[in-house]
Amino acid sequence: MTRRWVGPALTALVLAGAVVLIVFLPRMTSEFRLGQFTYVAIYFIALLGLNILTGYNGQISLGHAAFMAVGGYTAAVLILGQEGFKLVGQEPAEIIPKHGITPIWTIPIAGLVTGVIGYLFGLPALRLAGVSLALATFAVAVSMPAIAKRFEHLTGGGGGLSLPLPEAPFGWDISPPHWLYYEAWGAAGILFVVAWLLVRGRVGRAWRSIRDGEVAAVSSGVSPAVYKTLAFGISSAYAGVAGALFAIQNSYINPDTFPLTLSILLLASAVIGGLSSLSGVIVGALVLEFLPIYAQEPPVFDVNFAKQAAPVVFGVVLMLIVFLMPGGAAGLLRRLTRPIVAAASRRS
Amino acid sequence: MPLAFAWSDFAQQVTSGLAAGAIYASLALALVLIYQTTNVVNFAQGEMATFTTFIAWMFMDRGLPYWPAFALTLLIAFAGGVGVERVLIRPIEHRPEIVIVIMTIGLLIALNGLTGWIWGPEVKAFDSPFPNSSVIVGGVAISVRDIGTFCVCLGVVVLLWLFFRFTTLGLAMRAVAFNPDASRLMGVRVGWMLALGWGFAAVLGAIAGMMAAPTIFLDPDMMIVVLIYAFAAAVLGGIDSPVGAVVGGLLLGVVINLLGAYVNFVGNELRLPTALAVLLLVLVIRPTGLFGRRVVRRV
Amino acid sequence: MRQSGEIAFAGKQLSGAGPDKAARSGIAHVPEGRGLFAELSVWENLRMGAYVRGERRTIRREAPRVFEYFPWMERRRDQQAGTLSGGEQQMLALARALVSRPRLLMLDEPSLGLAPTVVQEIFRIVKELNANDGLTVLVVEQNANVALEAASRAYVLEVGQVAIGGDSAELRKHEGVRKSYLGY
Repeated sequence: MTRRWVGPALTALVLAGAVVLIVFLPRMTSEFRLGQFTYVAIYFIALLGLNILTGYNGQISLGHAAFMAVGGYTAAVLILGQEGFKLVGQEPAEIIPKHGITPIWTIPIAGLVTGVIGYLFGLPALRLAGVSLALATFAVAVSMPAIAKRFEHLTGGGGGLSLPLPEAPFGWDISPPHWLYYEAWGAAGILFVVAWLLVRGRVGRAWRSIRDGEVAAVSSGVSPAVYKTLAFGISSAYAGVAGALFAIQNSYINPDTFPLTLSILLLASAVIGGLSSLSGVIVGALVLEFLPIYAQEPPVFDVNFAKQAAPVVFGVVLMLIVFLMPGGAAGLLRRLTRPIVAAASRRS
Repeated sequence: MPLAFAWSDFAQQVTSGLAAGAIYASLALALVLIYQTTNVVNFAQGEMATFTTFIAWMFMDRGLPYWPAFALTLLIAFAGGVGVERVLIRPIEHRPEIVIVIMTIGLLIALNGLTGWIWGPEVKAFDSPFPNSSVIVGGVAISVRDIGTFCVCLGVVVLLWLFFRFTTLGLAMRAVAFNPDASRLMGVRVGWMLALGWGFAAVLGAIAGMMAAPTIFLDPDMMIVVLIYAFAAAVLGGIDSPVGAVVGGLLLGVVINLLGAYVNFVGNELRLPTALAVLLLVLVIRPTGLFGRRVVRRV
Repeated sequence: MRQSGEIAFAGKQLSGAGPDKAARSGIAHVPEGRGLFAELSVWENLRMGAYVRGERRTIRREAPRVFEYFPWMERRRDQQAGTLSGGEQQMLALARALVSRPRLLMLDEPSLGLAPTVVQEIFRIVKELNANDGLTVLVVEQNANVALEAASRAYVLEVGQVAIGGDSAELRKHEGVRKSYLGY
């Protein structure tokens, strides 16, 4: 007899611990640090979506920052509204009157819009097997800034759009950074649960079967076309939500807010965290936010590297992960905890 | 649209498109070389090219004349390409495609950072071996630099073709690309053939980089857009077809130039997205590209 | 999978070495399914056979000899190998193996999927090679009739073990072999 509940109970305990940590973190840290953790939440959401696509469905996207940009611009345009838009570039952001929609409501709309666009992109992309899809998304990421600059009347062109900082609702007496932190982590929590339900259910099984062998999936009655575009759409929707939150948190968006580098580093972080593992996503998000900072100024040594040290470290870490721990951080965690769980499950 | 359509203007656009296309073709051919043998698209191809172009710049900065620097760079590129295959790709060659792609992405990130770290992010001027003048042919002014670029790129392509067609090593490399298992039975050291393929690809990339740099200037990100065009060219021609890559590259260079010049909506900014749209369209109509083989998938 | 034992050829250890090393030590293997380079021409396939011994020199010396056995190949040397008929492909695979002047020729299921007359033709050539050039040939073959007729020694393998072995003329008279493999 083994105690089967030990594994899930441990997971639940860790999750509860994470929630407590997230809720009480703002009391323990400075507002600047808090902003960094807000970005962690945002990356967490984007990486959840990317992991659904790449980890669970086996499709590589090198263009997720472009989908984040779609979400970001959607939110920005909605927040500014028609009246606010006219004042872009003429008045400082703080005094632009709020003509548009309350920022928080733009987030689901941005997710929806990006999801639909991603779905539509996924239709032709479906015909591209593996690497060609990666190429197409890569090309999207490279061309996004040019497109954003070209359609100036919508995006404010190279000058970008400045957004007012949102205030906490219901007369809640916290500062905008604190509000943004809770907003981002709230969205992250909801989307985590959604992703968890998705990958655990029928849809997730279909995705995995396509990833592990498309021909076999077809013969067991799964339509790759339907499920692959679905994965693309949902993944883009996640990116859209992340992009909207990013724009609001950044209170500014321009064509360089979501560069190609971000697309590439998103994929790298997803791999470092661990593909097809939701728990690894948080590691990926932390790496994406903090690795560039610490690579430049290692906390232990008293040195200061050039800005370019960050990508070098990032690339090397990624290559080492591929060599040494294909499951990423999550795989390592599983390997480390398995004996503990096994020991606890055994009756003494 | 310009008010009057002038043939000389049109011809000029075509010739400069061919020069750009020859650069895309070189890099596209590099991608195809690796795709044929390793069955993976090398996302680091552009960064490898950039890195070697910086090496060439360093040689010239230290006073080496152009062509010796050029030759030395090609040697280094070749060694580098072989090294990358041996050290990074070899240990994971039997892992799924996605793993190898991620490895090349890791290399892309690291090389891009390293280039900026060593040589700084500032844009640098890069010498061209060809004068910045033009010759008049049949009433059309053609830039000498364009002619030189075209000839160097296409010359290397022809040399490579001769190598694959007429030498034992070239034959063995083609055999490995088509059927590695049978090649092993013939006594071919398949691993080394793959490494050679990476070496040649790196050389092609270095040439593309050195030919592109005088026009687009030298900076760590300079090859990213060129790489996208090369991808597009390779996919357009059929990712497993060397001829397709070259034709695709030239075609793309000309079409993009003409679209940019004559279609107002496209202009200068939207060339890349337009190339992308054309690419997607081709793929939807003909997934194997213009010259590609139909892939039979195993269950 | 548990593995034991060793493989040695002409006094050289081959255990654990790749097929390319076996080829370099003088073994030519025509695998089941032939392992041709379908996209390359007939001539290029033959050139690949010569690769292991120094391609240029060897192909010049060996091609005439191979064309004696297979005259049609000389006329159709530029044809793509993949467009040959099944029997022609098997002959090309055999010819390609011969070009390397092997010390041991190994044929895996050469009769698979071929018409009886073609099978006869192939085994006639193999026998001739053995008789004229003293080439050692190892054939793995389901078609016991044909194989026993051509071979001087034969072994019956059952679940990975040599069940019966010996002179093939004797094996043909063996009752068990006759009943199970020859069908009379």
